Amino acid sequence: MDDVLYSYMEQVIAPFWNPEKRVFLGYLAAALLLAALFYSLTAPGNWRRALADAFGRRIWWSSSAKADYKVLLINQAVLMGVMPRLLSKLAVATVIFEALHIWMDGRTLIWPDAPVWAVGTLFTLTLFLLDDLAKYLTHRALHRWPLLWCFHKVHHSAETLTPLTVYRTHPVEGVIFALRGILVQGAVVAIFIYFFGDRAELVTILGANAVLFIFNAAGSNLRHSHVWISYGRWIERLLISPAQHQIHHSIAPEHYDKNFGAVLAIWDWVGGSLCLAGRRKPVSFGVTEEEAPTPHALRSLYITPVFEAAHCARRSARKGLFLMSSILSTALRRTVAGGLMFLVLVLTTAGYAFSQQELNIYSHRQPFLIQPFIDAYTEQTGTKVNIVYASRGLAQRLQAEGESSPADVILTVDIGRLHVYADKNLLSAVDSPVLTKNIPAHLRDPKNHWFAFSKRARVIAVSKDVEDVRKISRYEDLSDPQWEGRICSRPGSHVYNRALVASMIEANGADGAEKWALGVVQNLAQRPQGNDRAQVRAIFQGVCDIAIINNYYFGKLKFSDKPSQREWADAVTLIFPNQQDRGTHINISGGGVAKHSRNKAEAVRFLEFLTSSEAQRLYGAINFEYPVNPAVDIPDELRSWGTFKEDQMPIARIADLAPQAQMIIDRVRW
Amino acid sequence: MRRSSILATTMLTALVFSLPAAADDRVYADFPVTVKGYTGSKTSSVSYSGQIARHALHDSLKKLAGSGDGSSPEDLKTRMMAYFAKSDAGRDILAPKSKGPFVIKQSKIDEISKKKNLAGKTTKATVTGMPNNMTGPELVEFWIDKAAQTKGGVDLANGYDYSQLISKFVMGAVSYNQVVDGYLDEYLGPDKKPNDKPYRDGAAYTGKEHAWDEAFGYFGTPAHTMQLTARQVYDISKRKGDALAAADLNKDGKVDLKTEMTFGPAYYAAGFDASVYDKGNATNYLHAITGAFLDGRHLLTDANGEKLTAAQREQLRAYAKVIGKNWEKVLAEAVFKYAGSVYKDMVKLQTIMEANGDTAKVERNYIKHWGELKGFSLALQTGKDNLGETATRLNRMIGYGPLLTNASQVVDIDNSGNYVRDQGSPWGEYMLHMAKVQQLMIDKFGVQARNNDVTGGMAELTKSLGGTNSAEND
Repeated sequence: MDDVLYSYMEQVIAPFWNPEKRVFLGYLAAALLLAALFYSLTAPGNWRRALADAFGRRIWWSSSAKADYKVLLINQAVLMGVMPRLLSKLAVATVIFEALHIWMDGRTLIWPDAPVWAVGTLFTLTLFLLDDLAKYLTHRALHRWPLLWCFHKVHHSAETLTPLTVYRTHPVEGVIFALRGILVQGAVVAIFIYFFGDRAELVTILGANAVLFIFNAAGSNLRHSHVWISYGRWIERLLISPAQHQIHHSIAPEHYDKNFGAVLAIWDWVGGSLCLAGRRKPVSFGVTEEEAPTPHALRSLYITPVFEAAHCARRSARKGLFLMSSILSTALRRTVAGGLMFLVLVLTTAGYAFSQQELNIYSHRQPFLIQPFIDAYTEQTGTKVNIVYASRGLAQRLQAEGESSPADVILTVDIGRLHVYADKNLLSAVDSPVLTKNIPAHLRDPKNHWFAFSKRARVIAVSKDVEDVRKISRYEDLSDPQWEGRICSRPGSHVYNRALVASMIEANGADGAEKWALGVVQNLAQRPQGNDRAQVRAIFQGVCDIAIINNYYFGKLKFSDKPSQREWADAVTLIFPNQQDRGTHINISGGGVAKHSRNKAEAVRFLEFLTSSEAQRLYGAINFEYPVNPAVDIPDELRSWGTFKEDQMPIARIADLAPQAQMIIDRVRW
Repeated sequence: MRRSSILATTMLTALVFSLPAAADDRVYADFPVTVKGYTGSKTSSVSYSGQIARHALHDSLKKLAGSGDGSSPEDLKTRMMAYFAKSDAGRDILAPKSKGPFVIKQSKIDEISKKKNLAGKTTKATVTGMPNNMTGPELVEFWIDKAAQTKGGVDLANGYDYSQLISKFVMGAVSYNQVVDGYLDEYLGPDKKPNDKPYRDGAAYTGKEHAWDEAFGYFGTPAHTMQLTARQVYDISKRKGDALAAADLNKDGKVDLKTEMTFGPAYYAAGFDASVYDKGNATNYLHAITGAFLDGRHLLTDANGEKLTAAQREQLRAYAKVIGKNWEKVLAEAVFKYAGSVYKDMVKLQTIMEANGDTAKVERNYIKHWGELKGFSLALQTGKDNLGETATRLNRMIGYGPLLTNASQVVDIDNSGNYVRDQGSPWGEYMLHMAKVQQLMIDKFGVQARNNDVTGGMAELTKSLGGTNSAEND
């Protein structure tokens, strides 16, 4: 208890000793000196009297000022509990710092030669500017939004102004202002650290932000006082003078909603809320009696604003913001709830009934691509199917699980990844006449450990806006120097590109493939990056005119929910290369039966299902992939992009050549 | 864990941290023989030369791993295996060697201890942070095989620096694991190596005394560490000329590897302490660990060859806990430091790449730092306890290989031992992984020294802006 009391006392007193705070004794003394100087210049014979009027007992012991003191004491107690539970600046900064790494794909420091003082000055000024702008916007919202005005009115109900009026604030507003500071300062810190590293530091005087130190030392406390100091009509367009802030507190209707700015007046100038001080000093401060009949009673300062705000919210709700609560009648709500419970019961029972046959799939393919197949299979067979999805690490998991692995089926894409499972002896040999019949020999493992279920063509996407690219007809054409600076590609080490290089080795020999890969790299418009979609976007953006992609990405973009992605697809047309010779290179999606599966028969049945007409058509419908089963027709949509002859190179050979392909990719720095 | 043990550990840790190093000038040497009925001539019961020999084997292996020129991989592999898995006589100490005035007394492994190797003491647990479920010795042998085929121990295509990987992993898989999962764990039980019997017939030390001494040996710090500052202990490992005076306890003008040298684990503990000794986040890993070893050894000597009581064993476990927790923190500090190095290298690499400059030099550092990061992260996982989700996250974020400048990353090792690569995560995402590795080390291990803190500048800058804990208004 003593600790809490001590902390409270410290919190009340500390601001008077802290140069980061407006009420630091030094700033108060400076304000008093400035006022004395002002009166000695403007009222040389009467300055003592003027000073006494501005700071006399009539002001600092008025009922309004006494209310200020009470609010100060109560707020510090309330906020002691609330403030530590708010978001921290560091948390905000960390989130933004991390997001910047993703948005900018990494981090490069800018202006590396800049001295620390220059970065520090830039940081301090930026922080000041954005902080001041945020104060203006928040303050404006507190006046303009009726709900917030209920709370901000507490501050404006002060009828005499003293430097401590700065603390006359409803706790709700205190939290709003604190969050504002946390968000702005967290964001500026994150952005500066991200771009400038540890060179960003605050320029301080006596430990306080140098700009705010100057502002406070120059008499900021006179804003909440009765000392009418104007800066003159020119400066008051840039800086808010004490007189301008006193106008902000004026009860006169012509002064309503003027001068929201904290330090700079330019925000008010731009926002149309600037009021220059002129010569006429406001007669009285506060709000109308209608707004606050007993402005200094504790009830008016703390409780009334909450009720008024609630009333305000209810009014908004009646206008339709909270429609949902009134849409459903009680009886209807009960019916819906009962129906949902019934549905859950039915589904649970049905799930239990079907749980006798189970199949566990480890999938590198995303669930949304697999689920339609699972649904169709479950409907056909009643087997319950569980999926474990991961983009990486499933082979290691299977290896670690060993004989106790629950996996029955492995599904993945590309021979490079299928080969890993076969290589590590994680797949069973499958003897299935159905699979042999439905899948051509070059699309399955000679030892029957893995099988392809769909084909994807590695095509060349070219810009519709340029003509010359239409003459590309072979992969080999891409190494021609005429395409210098016009090709985009994802990194060469990706399995799709590595498989393509392997096919080039098969077709043209290792030397020919390396020469080709080097030519492609020399023609790149930018560093290899992103996925296949990003290459189409790059063509749309005019970064390049040519890209190598898998055909189904074109379909995904063409039928995307996002209009922007449909625009990317509209910007390109596809070329199926090498139609006059070996055919277009294809890669596959495929899978196999896990070596230690306990449901091997069921697993084989599932693989057979994937090669059936029903499932093969789904590959085209869901992901724009081509069927492997020759008996199944290519879907019309895919056919409309062009029919093609495919490279008949055995897929297994690609796996054999992959290490050699990787070495080529490394050497040419693709 | 019993409340008394927790209390004892807490009090002990508090005591250790509150004592300035200079107040304790104890030396880990010359503890008297307490074995009942000992008839030999020895007057000291302290012996840990086998562990020092393993430090020398480790240092020599590291040296060899970085020495290849690609011309005779089989020969190099044989030489490396001689230090890792064989126990043959005649092996030279390749490191540490004399350097100027820093003269080292021994030049052969056998002069320290005979018939020692590393493989026999490398943890046999599966290393989950690398593919193919390799055990500790299998992984080191795999790396030895790869290192032998490279120039200077570095595989630029896949991003591996084998001398760093081997060295840092062995520091955990041998030294840390032997201590926290063996000597200071099961050896502290009532029946294993009891204190009322000699370690073996005719030995000058009891079972418990020798187990404790061997654990101390694995830490690899000079016997008179308590008389030295962390900086001095650190400099001894660097073999700086003026470090001789600090190391040479018996003033014979030479450094005796058996008692006066600093090796890996103590070097890192001292390094972190020295890096922040004058800052608000000062650490005291070196003296906390050494002090706890000394406290335990005094307890054993005071037991005077009698079987330890339950209370004495409890006390010994409390000392062991101080050692284990501080050692774990040292490894976590190393993970933190090198995650920061990798991050900083990535900033430099990206800047150079975007300016189309030559990345070779920075890339070499990047691969070295990644090797240190990976090695230490695997070492951290060789302790007594399974780190569970922490290990999973650590391994996923760091990956099996660094993200290379051509955006590829090793994702697997095939059955023939070939690396399999694929397009890695985006550059920015991998950088973030490094920042998150650092945060993980703070959250799970409470690291304090925090060398190369990626977001430390942000925390300081945020702090400099002051608090928002009072409601002011305009």
